[in-house]
Amino acid sequence: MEYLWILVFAGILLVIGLVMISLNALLGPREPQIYEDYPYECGVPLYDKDAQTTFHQGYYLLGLLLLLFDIEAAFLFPWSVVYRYLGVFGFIEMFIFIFILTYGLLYAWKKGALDWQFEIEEI
Amino acid sequence: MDLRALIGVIEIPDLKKFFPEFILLLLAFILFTLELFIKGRERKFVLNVVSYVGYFAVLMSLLIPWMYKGDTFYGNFTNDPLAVTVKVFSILIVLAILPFASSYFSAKRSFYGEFYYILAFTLLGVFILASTYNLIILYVSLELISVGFYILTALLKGSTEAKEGAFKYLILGGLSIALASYGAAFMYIYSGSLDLREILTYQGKDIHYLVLGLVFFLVGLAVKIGAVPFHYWVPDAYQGAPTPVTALMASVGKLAFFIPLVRVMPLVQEKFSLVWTITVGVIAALTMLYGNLVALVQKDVKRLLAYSSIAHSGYIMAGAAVAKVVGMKAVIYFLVAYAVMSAGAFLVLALMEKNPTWNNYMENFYGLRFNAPYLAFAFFVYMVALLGIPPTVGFVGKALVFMALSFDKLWWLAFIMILSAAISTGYYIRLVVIMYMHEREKEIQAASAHLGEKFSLFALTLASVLLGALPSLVWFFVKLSAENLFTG
Repeated sequence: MEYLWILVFAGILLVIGLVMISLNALLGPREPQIYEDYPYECGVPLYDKDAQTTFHQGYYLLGLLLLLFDIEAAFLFPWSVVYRYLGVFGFIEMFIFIFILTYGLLYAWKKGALDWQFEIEEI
Repeated sequence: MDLRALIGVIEIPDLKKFFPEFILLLLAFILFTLELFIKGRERKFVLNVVSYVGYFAVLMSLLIPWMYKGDTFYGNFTNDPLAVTVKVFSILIVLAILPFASSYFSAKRSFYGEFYYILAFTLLGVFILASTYNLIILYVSLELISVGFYILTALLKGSTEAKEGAFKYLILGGLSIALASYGAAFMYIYSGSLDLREILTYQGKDIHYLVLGLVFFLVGLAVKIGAVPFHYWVPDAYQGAPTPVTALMASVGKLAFFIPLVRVMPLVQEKFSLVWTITVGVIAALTMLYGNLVALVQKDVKRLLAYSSIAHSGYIMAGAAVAKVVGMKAVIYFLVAYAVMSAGAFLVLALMEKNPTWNNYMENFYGLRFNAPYLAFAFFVYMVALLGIPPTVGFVGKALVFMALSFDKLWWLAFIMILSAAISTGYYIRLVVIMYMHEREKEIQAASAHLGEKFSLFALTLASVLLGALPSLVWFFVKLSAENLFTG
């Protein structure tokens, strides 16, 4: 039963969200804007109006590299919490881990994954 | 909460038990570095030589006696005879495939240096999967193998089929691992442990969590091993992949992906043994029938062999339905036997494919004995072995599975197995007839094979006859592995 309040809290959040959205629709001014149906893309001008073209592979590679360091951070936090108890062994092990990840980044760098001067490639 | 108590005692793991994996990891990193820094013409030579030396070193290190027993990494990494058997045979098959890979990729003008280190990392995944009971490590090593296979499948320049196969494999493989980890979560809810031995021997109240977990886990694994109705990626991935990679997936991949299933077998308890037999048995029956029936109508021999691979998953699962020591011996022997046969059959195709006019269709096989007499004979041996005619490995494997089924009085499954083996005669014998009893339609010059290819094909052909005529050569490994798991 102690989890009931979480449910109540979620309900209140839902109600607030719904009220905000409906208030917007009820009270907001209705003036058509050019940018209203504009697909959002990180604030840069659009490459195409449909936003349905494929991205270059480099985009995904960058995403993967970002993921690599997300994982690293995710492992570093619990490690730093218990660091005192792990001793020298934990210290060395985390360095091996960071070394492997950094080595991966260096590999990607050398291979040109961070190089965004594209040429046409064949599959 | 006291953190100290939560962590427990930290001790330096016994790295002696991890020695082969350590060498393999080192080899993978060395190949990784070499691939990055060595350019030019000697690149291929250096990568090949380093691979051979490294794999031989790993093979030697596996023969050290202390490998045969003991835990390390807090019981998460177990070395037992089963693990060593799988490791020895997978590394032998990788050594047999390696000479074909470099010349195949050169002939197809699609040499990627990445092949070598991805192969090494995939093999590392096989090694770790072969010796763990821990669900998390199982998950990581399964993914290590699968990600390696996804990449290797796509490594063929200019082939959209390879990309298509790799993409299908990726999507279904991702789905399967999601299902398996969902199952693992249920098993954790049931027992509060991630160790398969503790989960399955735990006497809990909510047994439905365990059954749910096992079913999800089994479905996830069934996708990986290509059992019907989860087989959709197999024909496309096997056909699209570069042929040496297909040989790798069909032999080492199958050997590895069956290991979690084999490790669960001795732990199947009385209260859900009937569920186990029925679930595995029904999947096995469907897989055998479907694989063999669809293989009958294939025109492309590579695709035909892919369907035959599905059918063989069915035979092996039929053995796994008997969760006793006889069933386990049959499964382990059949896994090794199938690894040898399928690697050989796909490698013959790899050798023929080096000729650009060859396209794996049935028409090209007409009168192959004139075009390539030795290769035709090797292919004949593999067909006979896959069909299961004495004195080949396929016969002994099927006989062992049949004995296990009759031991447990699963006559319906035994009947379906004999029926599907009879169906399979249709296409294996047709290939033999086409090769040996027809005139050739066009002259296809067999591409020249270098010494390594000749030797490895000879060794595989010899093995698929000799291990069937004298099963005692591997029986020591098989018996030790199975009995060690059952008696502890």
